[in-house]
Amino acid sequence: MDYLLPSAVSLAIEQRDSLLVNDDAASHVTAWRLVKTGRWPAYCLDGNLELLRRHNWQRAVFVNASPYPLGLIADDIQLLPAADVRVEPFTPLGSPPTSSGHVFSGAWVQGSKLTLAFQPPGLVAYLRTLGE
Amino acid sequence: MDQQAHGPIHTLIIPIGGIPLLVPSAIIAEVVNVPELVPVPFSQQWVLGVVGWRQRAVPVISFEALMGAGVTPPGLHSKVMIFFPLPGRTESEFFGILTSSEPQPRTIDSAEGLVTEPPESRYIATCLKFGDTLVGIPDMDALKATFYP
Repeated sequence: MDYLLPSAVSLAIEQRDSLLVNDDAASHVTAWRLVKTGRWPAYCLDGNLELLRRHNWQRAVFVNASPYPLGLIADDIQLLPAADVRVEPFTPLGSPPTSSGHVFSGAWVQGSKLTLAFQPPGLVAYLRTLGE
Repeated sequence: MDQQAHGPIHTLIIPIGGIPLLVPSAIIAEVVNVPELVPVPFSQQWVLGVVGWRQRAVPVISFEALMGAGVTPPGLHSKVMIFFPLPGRTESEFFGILTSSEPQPRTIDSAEGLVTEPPESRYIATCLKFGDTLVGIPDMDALKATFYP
């Protein structure tokens, strides 16, 4: 499953080699990015954004958040020029899953292909609920 | 003197699992074959997914699931009825209802012969009986409250 993330909220994209893989099977965190002030967790999720434990991943994108950034493990990350992407507003139906609203707020429709776009505050609020 | 104008109302009968729905044709933007339904994580069970329609992302629901029945997956004759946004919502907020087959047009010329019955779901404003056929009129206020709490 592909998702769009606004580049404005992407703080860093790291290769697996730059991260500390978490060997604790009981932890929800797949890997850590070590920084001077501590460590940033990165989570591996499936297409339904449920936690997933797997080992064959290559990258993580870290989203700007407070008090520390939160990472999303990805198979692949493509940087798309803004001019090539047309994100239309999209309101998911039903109650939002987080206190910061829905996790999606837009979608890019290309013919029959549709890609949902994250709403960063909702995504961050969800990732924060995953704990460590 | 009652000056209220009465004219024929063009409607569509929407076949779904359970009681068919009756809606004015004017609130329907288009009836389309079922496109690929993209799942939306964290959605309620009655949200089947989202489809691309005229460069927009349109969520599609199962009305029967909304009323508490099970989700009926799209069948060979299923359609998606694209509804205009509900009153007070933004112009991008179209939504779709999955049907079990092609909707049927029906013109109502007068209220004569129409029998109302109490609804069994809060998402149905009232039920009407045409001869032996019972149809439900969706309660758009209830839909709006559930769609956009």
